[in-house]
Amino acid sequence: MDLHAFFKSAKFRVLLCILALLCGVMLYSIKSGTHTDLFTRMFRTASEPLQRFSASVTAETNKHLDTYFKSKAYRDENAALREEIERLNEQLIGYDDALQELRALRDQLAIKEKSDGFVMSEPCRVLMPVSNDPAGSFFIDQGEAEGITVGAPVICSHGLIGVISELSNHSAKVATILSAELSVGAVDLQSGDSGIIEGSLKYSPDGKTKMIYLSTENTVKADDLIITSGTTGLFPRGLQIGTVEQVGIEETGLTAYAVIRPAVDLETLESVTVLLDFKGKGVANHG
Amino acid sequence: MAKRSKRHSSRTRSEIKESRKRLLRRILGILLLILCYVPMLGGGIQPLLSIPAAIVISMYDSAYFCMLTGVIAGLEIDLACDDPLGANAMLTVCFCTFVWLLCSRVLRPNFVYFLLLTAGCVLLRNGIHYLVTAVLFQMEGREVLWQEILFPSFVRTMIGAVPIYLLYLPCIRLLTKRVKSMDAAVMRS
Repeated sequence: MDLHAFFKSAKFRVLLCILALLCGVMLYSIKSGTHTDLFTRMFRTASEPLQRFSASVTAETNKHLDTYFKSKAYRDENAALREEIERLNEQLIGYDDALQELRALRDQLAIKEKSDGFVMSEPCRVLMPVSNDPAGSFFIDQGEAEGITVGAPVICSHGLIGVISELSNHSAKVATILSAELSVGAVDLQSGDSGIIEGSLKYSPDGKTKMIYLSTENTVKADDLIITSGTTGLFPRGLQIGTVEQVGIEETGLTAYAVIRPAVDLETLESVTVLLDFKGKGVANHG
Repeated sequence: MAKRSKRHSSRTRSEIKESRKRLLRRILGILLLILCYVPMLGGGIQPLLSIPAAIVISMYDSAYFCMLTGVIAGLEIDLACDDPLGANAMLTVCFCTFVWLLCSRVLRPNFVYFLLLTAGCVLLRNGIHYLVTAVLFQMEGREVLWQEILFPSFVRTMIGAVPIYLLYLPCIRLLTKRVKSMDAAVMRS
């Protein structure tokens, strides 16, 4: 192969020009950070019909394939749920007493209902998931023009999904709680132990996340409910995050961690809500 | 004189026909790239189908068009995988130019070479992605990224490469002028 002739040809110069141009576009794209750059916006807008078409085809196909390929998983899940129902039925015996106690405590502390003070967006449609992303990030069909801001919590009726990580006019990217980009102050509802929810590559492919910086003397145990602590002012207190699957000590031996199964099934999301404002937003409370 | 003019006009007509075929082949190539983009948008683990599409086009087309397909294929990957715009495009432009160089000077394009070149390019792209995202930043559980995402994506891409080649091959067969002898091939080049 006569490479020497190629390196001297106009083709090689054109190749270098294209590479330089692409390099510039990439640097500009990286520099734009959370606010999606002009080129990406342009390409995304142009490819939106394709994205919608692809998302609907994939969703339909997965729905059909799911029935055949995951029948065993569903059978096992069904059996596990039956066991859980039995266990919950046993717990239900003491539920009325606990409920009365809870009401009294709520009155005493004058805690408002969970949804009070929430300013929520219109329901946002899940536009397109990000391919080959273990953290399951996805795009929604509302953006800056609808009042959505970077860092706003994204929720659904089951609990916290993630935050807005990138923004363009009429779409936004959601980084889920499986993502290492995200840090959420969390607390174990049963034991009161607090930590930080931060995604890990190790657990995200299995749809799990990690609660780090737990004290080594924690009393967190499997099946404990994890909620947002609301101490940073970035998330309201009391949003359900998930349940504990296992607890362990970090390699350093200084802190403990817990593996969390999210309350929300991130694979089957079709519609989400963005919390535009809530009581205590932006007010850090470390007390 | 009339004879000479007739020969000249028939030659021009053949050139026009050839350029129309080339244009049609290129439109079909771009359509193939767009078609390959659709499955890449499904979320979860997806094959990078635009790489084999760009490679098969690069094996049979001219240098500048190869570069263009490389840019389009790369931008498709950037958008589907939400990588910084241009990051994959730079790689795919290089891949396509390399494939064009190989196929125009060293190799005779065929299915086996197509599979080998696709495997090489996808592995290289995934390897670079792994190095940049996981190893460079020392992410916890980085081996999982390769096992659970990049390698399955590579396998799916290789499976998807077969129908892409079979889809593009008829375009090549129908729209490329066949040469019946080596002498004619030399004359054409």
